[in-house]
Amino acid sequence: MTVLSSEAIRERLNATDLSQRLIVSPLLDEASQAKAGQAAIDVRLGFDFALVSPSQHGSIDEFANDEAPLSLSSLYRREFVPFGRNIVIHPHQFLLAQTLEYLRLPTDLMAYVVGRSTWGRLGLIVATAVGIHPGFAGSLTLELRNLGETPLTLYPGQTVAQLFFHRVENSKGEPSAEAAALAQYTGTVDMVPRRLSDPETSRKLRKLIDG
Amino acid sequence: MWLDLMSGLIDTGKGYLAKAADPALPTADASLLVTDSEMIGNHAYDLLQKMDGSDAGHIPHQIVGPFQRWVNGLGISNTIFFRADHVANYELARFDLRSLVQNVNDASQSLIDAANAVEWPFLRVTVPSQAMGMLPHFAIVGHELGHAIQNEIKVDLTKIDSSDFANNLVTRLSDEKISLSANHTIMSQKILASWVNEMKSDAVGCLLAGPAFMFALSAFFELSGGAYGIGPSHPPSEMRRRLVLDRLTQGTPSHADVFKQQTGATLTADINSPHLKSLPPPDALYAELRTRHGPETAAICVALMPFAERVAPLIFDEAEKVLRAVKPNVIYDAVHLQEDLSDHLEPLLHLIPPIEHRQAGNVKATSLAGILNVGWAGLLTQLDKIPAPAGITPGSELTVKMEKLHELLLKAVELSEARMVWEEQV
Repeated sequence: MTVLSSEAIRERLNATDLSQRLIVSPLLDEASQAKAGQAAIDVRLGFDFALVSPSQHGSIDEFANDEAPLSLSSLYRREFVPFGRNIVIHPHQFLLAQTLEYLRLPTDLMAYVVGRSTWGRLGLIVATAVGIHPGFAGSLTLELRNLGETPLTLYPGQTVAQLFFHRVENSKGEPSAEAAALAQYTGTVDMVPRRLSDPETSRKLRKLIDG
Repeated sequence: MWLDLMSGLIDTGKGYLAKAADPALPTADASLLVTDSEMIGNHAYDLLQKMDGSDAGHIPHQIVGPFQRWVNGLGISNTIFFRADHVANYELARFDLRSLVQNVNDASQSLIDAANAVEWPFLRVTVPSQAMGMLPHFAIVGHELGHAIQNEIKVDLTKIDSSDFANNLVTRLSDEKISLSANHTIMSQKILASWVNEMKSDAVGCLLAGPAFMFALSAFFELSGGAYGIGPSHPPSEMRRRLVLDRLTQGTPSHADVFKQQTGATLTADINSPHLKSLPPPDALYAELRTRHGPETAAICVALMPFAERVAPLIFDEAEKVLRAVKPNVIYDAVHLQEDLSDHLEPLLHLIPPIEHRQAGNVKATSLAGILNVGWAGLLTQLDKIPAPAGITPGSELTVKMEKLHELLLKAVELSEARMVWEEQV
């Protein structure tokens, strides 16, 4: 898998062919977010956050309710934080955030999201689910956790993570025809997951649990 | 600021209670202060109720900043807020609490400061909650903002021949054995003034949002039920829709030309409201209106229609003059439509929201009007091409696609506004 340089990233951002175009939008300061000579794009913290209140739930149990699977959206409290305001993440607190940028990958690219080292040194872990598949379209969800001992004040617009892009190739080093054919554009702008298991897995597990 | 006014009232009430607690005060005076405090508290509660629906849980927070740009673009300096409510109609309400504040004894400093910080009258725009399902419907807010500047759009109606109006009215009234009187003249003037204000606001909405306004307006008419829309406060819906379309077909290229070129669809009056009831012939319309409004109002409304048609072009011209004089950039012309549809319509089908224009390395944010127009063009002409996620329930594909479109447009509104705000920080 070839890693795209900043130059290649910029070419993809400006591609006229929609099947080739990479969307990371808006890049509020393109020169500093896609620095020449590097191989990544810096992405910023967006405006929407979601928090799980630990005191409200004994344990998050997908099958606790006999009637219906757990609705994950009910676990979260959403917060909108505009430019100029902030949200504090306390030591060992976990919250979901979104990138400010909307991302859409062409079918021949995948990406990794990685926390910026500056934040990492302060104890902030930015993402645990780091791989982004070809054809992804939507806002990226960041799973933030403060592993440090000091509260951190976060402002929408701060550069918080980096995206590294890779070409998806077959075993001969050519663009993957399978990825191009099967990648599904699934625009998603909601960071809160809907369910833990797919319906079939959920059905079978339920049968096992019920004995 | 609305909450500041409430807080100021509560502080004033608390001041009364503090005074009432003085043991040296005669009981009757203390009782009066407690009663006054209760009244002030009721006022504060009343204000709280008036802002119901203005929180982020009711109205999409993303839309408020772009609306405020329209407000600023129109030169409206009044303090304003937006809310969504379970009501049938869009509405612009005006509140002026200056006399209340001036007449309150021993007003708290926080109340005085809050009142001084407001540009009165305080405006409140209400959007019906049903519009929340699809972002493009918000284009009608342009009409409500038009009401805020309607008095600045001055039209000399004396230039228009009104003889047919007078003749038609006299004939209808005489059929009812009613003689024309001064009272009918006053009634006619009031109804005409209301109709003219509606047409002024339609003109402003059309100038702000172009075809998106017509689509939203006509959809609203159709969703409003089976009536013709005509009455003492509003001209007929079918006529309003046609007058807006007439304006959108003017110019070279016109909005209609651009829409046809970019979408392949002809911009017709009924493109988004095929089931809007057509007006019946005047006699049948009169008979129907008569049962609802009485013979005199019905006669005036029916007689006014041809006159209103002749007045409309003057109103649209004058509205454009006013807007061009204030801030010409706020006008959404055919060139803007061309740029937005050519840059964003095809990408929208690939789930790329119309956030910004990117040309030769230069980037600029898409306007709210641009997003609304791209949204309507996608909704009306390309919805079948929007990809639906795998595994959706059979039969729900259309609904899922509409929800997806709404999400993408809302994201575009949020992020284009973010770019604008960022670039303003110099």
